[in-house]
This record gives sequence, structure tokens and C-alpha cells, in this order.
Amino acid sequence: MRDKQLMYGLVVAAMVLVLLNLPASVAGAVQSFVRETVAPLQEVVSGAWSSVREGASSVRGYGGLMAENKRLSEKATELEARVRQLQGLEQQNVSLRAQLGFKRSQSMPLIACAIIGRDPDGWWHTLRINKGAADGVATNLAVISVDGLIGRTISVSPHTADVLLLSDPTCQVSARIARTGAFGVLTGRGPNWQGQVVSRLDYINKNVEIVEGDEVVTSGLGGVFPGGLLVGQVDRVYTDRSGLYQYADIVSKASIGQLEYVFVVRTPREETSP
Amino acid sequence: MRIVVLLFVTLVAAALQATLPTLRWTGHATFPFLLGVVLHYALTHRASHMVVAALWIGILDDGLGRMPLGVSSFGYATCGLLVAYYRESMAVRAWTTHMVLGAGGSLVMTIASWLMLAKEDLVAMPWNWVLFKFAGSALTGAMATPVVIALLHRLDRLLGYVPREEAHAS
Repeated sequence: MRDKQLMYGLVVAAMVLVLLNLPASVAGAVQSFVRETVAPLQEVVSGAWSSVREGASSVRGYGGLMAENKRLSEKATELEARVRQLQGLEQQNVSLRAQLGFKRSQSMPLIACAIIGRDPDGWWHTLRINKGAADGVATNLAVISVDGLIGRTISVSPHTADVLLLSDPTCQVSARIARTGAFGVLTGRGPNWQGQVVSRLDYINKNVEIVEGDEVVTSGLGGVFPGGLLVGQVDRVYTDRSGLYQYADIVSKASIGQLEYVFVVRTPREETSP
Repeated sequence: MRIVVLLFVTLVAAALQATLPTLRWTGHATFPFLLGVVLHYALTHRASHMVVAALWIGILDDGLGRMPLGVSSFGYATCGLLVAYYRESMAVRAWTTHMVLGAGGSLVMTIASWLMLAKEDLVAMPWNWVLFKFAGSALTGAMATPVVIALLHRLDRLLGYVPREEAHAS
């Protein structure tokens, strides 16, 4: 019995060594195959779970539907007014750009995706979406929700892609405070108790005043994230021990646990006149 | 046929583990359905079947996550070999055994993952959240494993794969 166990142990050790030393291309192909194979099952499970959750929500929330309806109607009216105001500003912008000889920049094309899975080990801050290379998704594209930026694509297979969330410590974004324009580097700090993405904006100029509630947007530097995407709001501000700069905790409005749909941003190029 | 059953069962378990949402009060620990499959094979099947299952399940787990291929295979196979080695002294059919094995296996694998990731500075969680996650993984392991093993035992009986203990008893 002990000899058999030893033999099995040696077989396991040998197989593990082989797997750990596979060339990156082979390991990538294996991972792609696994993801493509499991993806249809994940879509089924994800769809079934969404139905269960919607059913539970409708039973729980029936009483609150009237209030929610009123709130959304008021919000829609406010947004319509803002859209009209922005349309006027856009016309002015087009006219001024034409006078300066700039060509018109295009709005960002988006690829709508459903979330079909998360990391099975529970450590990595990633999501899996149901669109891949066949749908125009590539690596290092920004991913947004209705509440703002949530991450970037990392590994892409033909019909699925993984999204690295802003809360992951390996996800870094060049960002700025929208009100003051102060730049900083955003690094993931994990989710908070409510499931919201939490990150830290480091290396902010110590002479710039930042207040809680200030909006943080992407700066557009670095070539991955287009500028102007909402990241979150300042939660707390600190001064670094060295006194050379300040840093702030940024909380995203997006609650990862509630997300069902996201959008991959296919960043177009903006052309300028020579 | 056994290979087909293994593939089907592991793909379903992987899809469930990677898709079902996690709970805040378990530290966002996932339900370890794949570990449940390994433990079922360790308790009731030949060691050779368990080793094949553990290696394949590890490849599935790493393929769906971001761990290098082979890491989870090592973890699952080690858990499986230990359980298979000591199974003669366990109440193999008791759900309490399944709960304890599920809790222990899930806890050990979570701690091992955390050690590897913390060494590379890839864990962005405060200490209390990490401890919460350890406790949560033990809890989810205790909850999921008896259910998985019970379902797989029914499937085995349906397909006529009678475990060795029952075959000897008859």
C-alpha cells in the first residue's frame, strides 16, 4: 500500500513538474481551450442565477417599485435637460475645432458583454466576459460599466475574455482629479465590505487641495485607458510620511457583485491637422 | 465511459465554482465544488482514478484562473493522496466525515494559495479580511463537500460503479 502511494506521489510530482515547465505558448493554448470549453456552461449557470436573483428581487422589491419609478422619472428629466445643454456645447465645440483645423474625434465604440464568471479561487480580482477575439475584443482595452471604469482586458480567447479589475493590486491606471487636474497613479486595493472597487491614488502633488467626494477620471496617459473615463470618488485623503506628496482612497460607484453587463471600449484614434 | 463521466462532472463543477457569486460573510470564498469531486474519488474510487481526476481538475482550476498550470493539480493531488491513504480509518459514508474533509481541504488549499500570492505581493487585503477568508473557505468547504459527494455517489450507483467497500460487503 505504501509503495503504491509512493508511486502515485512520484507520478503526481512528475506531472506537476511537466505542467509547471510547459512553454508559455502551450500553457496559453491549454488555458484558452479550458475557458472556451467551460464558457457555454458558465453562460447557462450565469443566466439561471440571474433569473433566480431577478425573481427574488421582484418579490422583495415590489413594494418599492412605485418609489423607484418616481425616482427614475425625475432622474430622466434631469438627464434630458443636461443632454440638451451638452448638445449646445457640442455644436460650439465642433465649430471651434473646425476653425482651428482639427478633425472631429469619434465617440468611443463599445462592445456590450455579459459577465459569465469570476476567478474560481477567489483571490484574483477578475471577471470573465462572453465576448472574445472573434467579437473584436483585444488585450489591454478599457472595460466600463454604467458607473464608470472597472478594469481592462487581460487574456482573450476566441469567444471569452478576462477582465482585470481596478481593485487588483497589479492594475495601475494613470488618473487625475477632475476638479483640479492633479495627476496621480491609481493602484488597486481590493474590494470594500460593500463589494465596491477600492483603489489608491498615489503621488498627488502635495500643494493641490483635494476634498472627499472629488471625482477621479482617467488621464489618457499610458496608452491603455482613454482619457475622461470616470473611475470613482475620493473617500479619504492622506499625506505621505515623507511629506512629499499626498494620496487618497478612491471608491468606485460600481458594485462588482451586482454587475451583470459591462462594455469593452474599442479606443479609436483622434486625428489632428498637420 | 468513466472518462466521459469524469469530464462531465468536472466541467459542471468548474462552471459552478467559477460562476456562482461569493458571499460577503464568507470573505468572498468560493464554494469548492472541484475539491468535493477530488475527495469523492479519494474516498470511494481507486487511487489511480483519483490521481487522474485530481490532475485534470487542477488543470481546469488553473485554466479558469490566473495560477500557473500545475499549481492546483499539486494541491488537489496531495489532498486526494492523503485522504486515500487514511480512508481505511475513516467513516467513508458519513456526511460528518465529508464536512470535516471539505472544511480542512478547502482551508489548507486557501492558506497555501495565500502564502504563494502574499510572497509575490499579489494580495491586496487587510489581515482581518484574510482571516475572514480562511474561515469562510472552511465554511464553504464544509457546506459544499457533503452535497457534492452525495450527488456523485448517486451518480455512481446509477451508472453501476459500485465503490469497493460495498462490493466487498456484498
